[in-house]
Amino acid sequence: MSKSVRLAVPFLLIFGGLAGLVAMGVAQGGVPEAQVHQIVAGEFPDREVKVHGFLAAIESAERPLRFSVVDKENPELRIPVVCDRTRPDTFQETYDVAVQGRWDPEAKHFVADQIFSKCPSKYEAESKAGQTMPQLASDVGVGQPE
Amino acid sequence: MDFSYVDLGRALERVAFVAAILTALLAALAVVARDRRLVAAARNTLIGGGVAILGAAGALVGAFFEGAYGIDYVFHYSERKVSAQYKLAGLWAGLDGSILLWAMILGVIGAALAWSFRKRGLDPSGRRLEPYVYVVFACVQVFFLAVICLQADPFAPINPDVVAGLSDLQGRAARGPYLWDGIPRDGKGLNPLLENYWMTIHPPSVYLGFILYTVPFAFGMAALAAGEFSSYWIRTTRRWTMVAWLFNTTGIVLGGLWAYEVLGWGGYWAWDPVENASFLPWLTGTAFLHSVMIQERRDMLRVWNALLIAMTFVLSIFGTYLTRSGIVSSVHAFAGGEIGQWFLAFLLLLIAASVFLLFFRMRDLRSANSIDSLLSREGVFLLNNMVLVAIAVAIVLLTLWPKISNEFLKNPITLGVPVYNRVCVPFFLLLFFLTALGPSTAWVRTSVSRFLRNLLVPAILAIAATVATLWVSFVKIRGGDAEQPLTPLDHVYPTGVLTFLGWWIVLSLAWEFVRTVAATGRATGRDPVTAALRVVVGNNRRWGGYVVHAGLAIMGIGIASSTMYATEHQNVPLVPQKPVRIGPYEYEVTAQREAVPVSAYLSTKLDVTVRSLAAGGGPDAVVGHMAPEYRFYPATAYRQQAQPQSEVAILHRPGEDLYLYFEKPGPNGFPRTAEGLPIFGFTIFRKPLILLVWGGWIVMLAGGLFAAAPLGRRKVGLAA
Repeated sequence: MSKSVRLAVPFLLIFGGLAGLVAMGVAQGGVPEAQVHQIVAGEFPDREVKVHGFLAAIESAERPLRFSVVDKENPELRIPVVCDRTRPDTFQETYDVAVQGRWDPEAKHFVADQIFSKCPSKYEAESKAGQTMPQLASDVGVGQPE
Repeated sequence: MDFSYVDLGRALERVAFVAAILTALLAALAVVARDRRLVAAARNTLIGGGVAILGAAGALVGAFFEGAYGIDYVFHYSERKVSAQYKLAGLWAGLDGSILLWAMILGVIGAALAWSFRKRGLDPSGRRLEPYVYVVFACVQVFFLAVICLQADPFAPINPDVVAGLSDLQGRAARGPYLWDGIPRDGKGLNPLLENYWMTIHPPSVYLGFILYTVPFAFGMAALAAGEFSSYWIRTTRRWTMVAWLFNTTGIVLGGLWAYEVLGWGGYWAWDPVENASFLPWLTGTAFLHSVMIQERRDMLRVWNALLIAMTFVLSIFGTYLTRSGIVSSVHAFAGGEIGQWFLAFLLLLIAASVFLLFFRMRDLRSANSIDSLLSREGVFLLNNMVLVAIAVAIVLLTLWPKISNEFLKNPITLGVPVYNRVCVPFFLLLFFLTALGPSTAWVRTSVSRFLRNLLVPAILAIAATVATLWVSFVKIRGGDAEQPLTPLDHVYPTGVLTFLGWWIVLSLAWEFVRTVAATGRATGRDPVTAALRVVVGNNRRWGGYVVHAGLAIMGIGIASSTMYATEHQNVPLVPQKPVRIGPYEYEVTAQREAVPVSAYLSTKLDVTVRSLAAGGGPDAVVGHMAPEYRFYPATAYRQQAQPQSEVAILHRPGEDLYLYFEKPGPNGFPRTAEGLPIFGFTIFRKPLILLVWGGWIVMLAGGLFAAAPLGRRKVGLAA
């Protein structure tokens, strides 16, 4: 076996194996991403999906969490979400949020297995870059939620 | 006072920008005119620019400490009540400041590099390369300083909308005044999640790792441009690269520690794009550190080495682009915006320039030597390089897949942790396997019988150590399947395989060390201790490198057990004075304080007493106390919304961590029992052998520092 063939064999095995694993991983483990209006339009019936939007209307901040996710383009469109997970630290209305799970057509809400809220650095940066402090608190020292 | 910082900072930024442009021009002229006076001038402007940008960063830090809230950046990332360390951390808490920090570190490194050339310039290769290095280095500086001066100025004045909002609030006679001469009296403050001591260490470590790669990159590109094909640049940048790699490693691990101690999900790695961004240069940087040894030893892989260092630097910039462009959604990326386009343009320019130089010099870089056998040190290094680059390629693909699938397939797909694990874990195992083989191979060719003999004893011992480790971790610490069942396959893949490979690496190195010391003892007639010292100090690069391997192996063993044998119980209600049994422990809230004002927040802190059921569960069975805390940061005039936050409590036990995460209450506070006692909710994790993850990093760090130290007979050592 020539030297170049001797090197080509492991190269092909490693990168061929890599290509195969990536293709398999994407095919079997990929979850479609969607916007709220697509869920409202019934585009992903009975399929796991990750939905992006803005957090709104928190009905329950305790487990199970109950809130809505509002469409980023059309604020009129929203879906109710139920999520039996720990409340993230950055779980606040108007924040960017993504929920992963399935639409329950009978209960007419989205059952989320995972909730992704954004990290503080991103929130701070966006708030600074764009719509800076659109609503200031009506007073200082809003108290403990008791 | 505010505007003195603004004027000073902006003036120094511009001085640094001009100095960087001058450095590039003077060095380029020096190349053309072959005039050493121009080189000396470029050296001086490089040092001067470094001092200027250091001053600019100092001005911003001064503004933070002064409370100069007339500066938009300071207003958004600081407040009066915050402690000094977080005022300092404000420098890198946001996008604009983090770029200033990058430019500052780059400036200081540039000045140090220029200073070191005052001596190194005497070497003929060094004299030839010096101006080329300055051109490359200064071009990188020009980019960052242009971003600061033209796009992301951290000294920009406060946004008028903020002032108008505060003025309006003041007009409504709340508790103000909130403004003083049109400037906010306080800042919005760091997000509470960032007020953590890791915030003061982790980001600078990551940045240092990324930025230090600029030095070998500048030398590599300079060598290509100058047609300097000796190994000079490899030898000269070895320590720079090693230190960059150590900071890169440290940044990654500290990021994991931060996530573990703060975020409350009990893990330390989630394949988030930002985590991936710091890992990518680590992979190619590791490959580079190995492959340069082949060039030093056998004058081979010149093209590959130049390509690897270019990839490493490009991936550092790619990581920065990922986190600042908004191209992929990440839990902790900065907001997207025009700055992403700047980074994309720079990234494309870097790739184009590197590829052009490589093709330009391709013919001259070819080596007369070639790899004779894959069963040789260089053969194993090459395979290790292929695997490392393959992992990097896989991670880039998976990280960008949501974007690629959206743009090109019009079908956006997100990929979670299981997909990354499915793709990457087999390659990590292969990498560990090669790491175990490495020390038993010889340069050029290895005798098969000797190779097998060297590996056999450690392999047999590793099987025994693996069985013992899994027994201790699964049976003794976890308590078997009692809490949460596992399948038989969980014990084999990846847990058993990774643990075995980890032990095999450690024991192969120990075996190699024992044999080397014995041989040295026999050859020199020294006692074993003297012989061992002679071996280690005589070739610190080799043995330091082996210690790094051992650290990685220890970390692998820790990752296997702490991930696969972890247990998790969600939403466990704890009522004061009413013990709850979970697994082999009993947890009881024995003291509490609710909603006590502390600094900028209200603190609810508990004392949770933990008892071992194996020891009877009574008063004598107390194994420790944990202090989980729930903090409530109220909304203020400056902070738009109130923010609740849970502080994780961790009890380090021999062999495992007990981990409590305080569930945040709803708007009505903690629920109550019929007797009026509060019910505190917790997620409780147990993480067997997790200390090995952090311990492995300490070992890696120690080994890396030892390898980089200027000791031994071979200052530019050969890993024979």
